[in-house]
This record gives sequence, structure tokens and C-alpha cells, in this order.
Amino acid sequence: MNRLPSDDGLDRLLARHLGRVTDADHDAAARVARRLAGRPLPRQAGAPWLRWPAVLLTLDLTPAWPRVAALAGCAALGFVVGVAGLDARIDMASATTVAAADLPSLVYDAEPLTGLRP
Amino acid sequence: MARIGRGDEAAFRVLSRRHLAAVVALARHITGNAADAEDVAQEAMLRVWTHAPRWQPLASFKTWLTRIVVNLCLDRRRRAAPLPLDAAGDPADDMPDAHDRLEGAEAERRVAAAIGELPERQRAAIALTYREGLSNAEVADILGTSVSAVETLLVRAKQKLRARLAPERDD
Repeated sequence: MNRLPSDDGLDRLLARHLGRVTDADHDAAARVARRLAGRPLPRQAGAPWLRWPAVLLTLDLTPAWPRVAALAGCAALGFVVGVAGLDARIDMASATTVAAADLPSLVYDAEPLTGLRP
Repeated sequence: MARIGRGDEAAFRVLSRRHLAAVVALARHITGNAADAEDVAQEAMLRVWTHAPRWQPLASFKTWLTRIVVNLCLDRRRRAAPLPLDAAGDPADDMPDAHDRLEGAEAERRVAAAIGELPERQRAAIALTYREGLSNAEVADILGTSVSAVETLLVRAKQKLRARLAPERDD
């Protein structure tokens, strides 16, 4: 009965078996529909520019690498902002600031009579 | 979809009723598990609702929904148990007599069991090809792989199915 001498027989068998929606499927669909109707629906995704980090975490419809790359970029940006601060220039690091200070004032005391420093 | 994207829950429920049975059937064939299929179907429809405002008609809604279902099934990362014998359901009543009807039901169970023993990605490729009628390129797009990889999945799946089903053919 289950002769499968060629792909045609197997193809027909698979198409017939997989193409059916059984009574059990309809019953399951009805249960799911009742559950969806009996609960409040979640919030819909809003404007992307307000929620794009969450989109990167929850959207599963794209390959993983753009999402991972975007998250890595956000992490790097956060690190740079955290290190430099929003009110400081990144190119003026603390080393150059120290170098610009008046070192003699830090090392030598002023002469008591003249007020000058060596 | 435009109405659902604007928050129309009634439109969402109409769409759900229209597609849920097919979604459950597809998920059942890929996961091999009726309970998982029901969970996948519910999660898929919730994702449709959540992401509806951003949906663009670049592809058909059916293709988009199919991709959601397949991704959810594969994300479960679990080798499903073979389908229970009663999960195949009743065959179409187009057989002329009782003996033929019994043979048809038994054949359906054997096919269901054989498909349930395939690895998940092979099951997905078989279901998308034979149930959804998609081309190899469309299946590759949904699975996020190449056409040649899909062809390999199908060849291996059919080899296993042929080996699993053929021994009973002349008994």
C-alpha cells in the first residue's frame, strides 16, 4: 500500500498528509482564540525612535548580527559617554589637563619676602 | 493589517480566526508536539498584534506570519517527541470501504511518526515545502539559509522518510 518507488509517491504522500488541517488543529485554534479574547492584548510597538533599543532586543525577524552589532555600538557609545562625561571633551583627557597646570605652584612655596617662587 | 496597526482589536480577532488553524497545523508539523504548537500559535498571533504598526506590505502577510511561526518553532531548540499516534486525526472520508479507511488511518499515523522523527530544520523544510507550497528560495528566506542548504535538508529528510516508510510497503 505504501509504495514509495520514486519521489512522486513520497511527494504525493507528504502533500496529502501535511496539507490537512485536522479536527485537533481546529480545536486548538479555538482554544487559542478564546485565550486571546479573554486577556488584554499587549501594547503595540510605537514610534521606532522612542523604543528602538527594545526593538533590537525583541525583534526576531531579522538575522542576529545587525542586532548584536547595534547593541555593541550602543554599549561602546555608553562607555565613551560614561568615561568622558557629557560636559567634557573626549579629546582633552585628564593627562593633558594635568600637564597644563602650573607645576611650580604645586612644588615650591613662595618666598616670604618677595612672594616669588623659584 | 492597517486596522490592526491602529489598534483595532476586533480586526485582530477576525484575522486570528482566519489563520489560527493553519498556524497550529504548521507549528504541529514542525515541533512535532501538539501542546508546543498551541503555544507557538498563541505567541505568533501576539507578535502579529504587537508588531502590526510596523508591518510593511513588502511581502504577503501569510509569508510574514509563516516566518514568525517557523522562528518560534525553531527557537524552542528542543527535539520534539514523535507525534502521538492519535495526533494524526481522522483521514478524509473518501475511501469506499472500512478496510481502506483503516489502511488510510494507519498510513497517516506512520507518516506522522516518520515526520516526527526528523530533526527540526528538516521537518520545517518539509512542512514549508509540502504544506505551504513554498519554493526553495522562499523556504531559504524564511529559514535564514541558502537555497542549497534547503535542498540538502529536503534531500536528507526525504531519504529518511523513504527509509522509514518503505519497509511496510509490501507487507
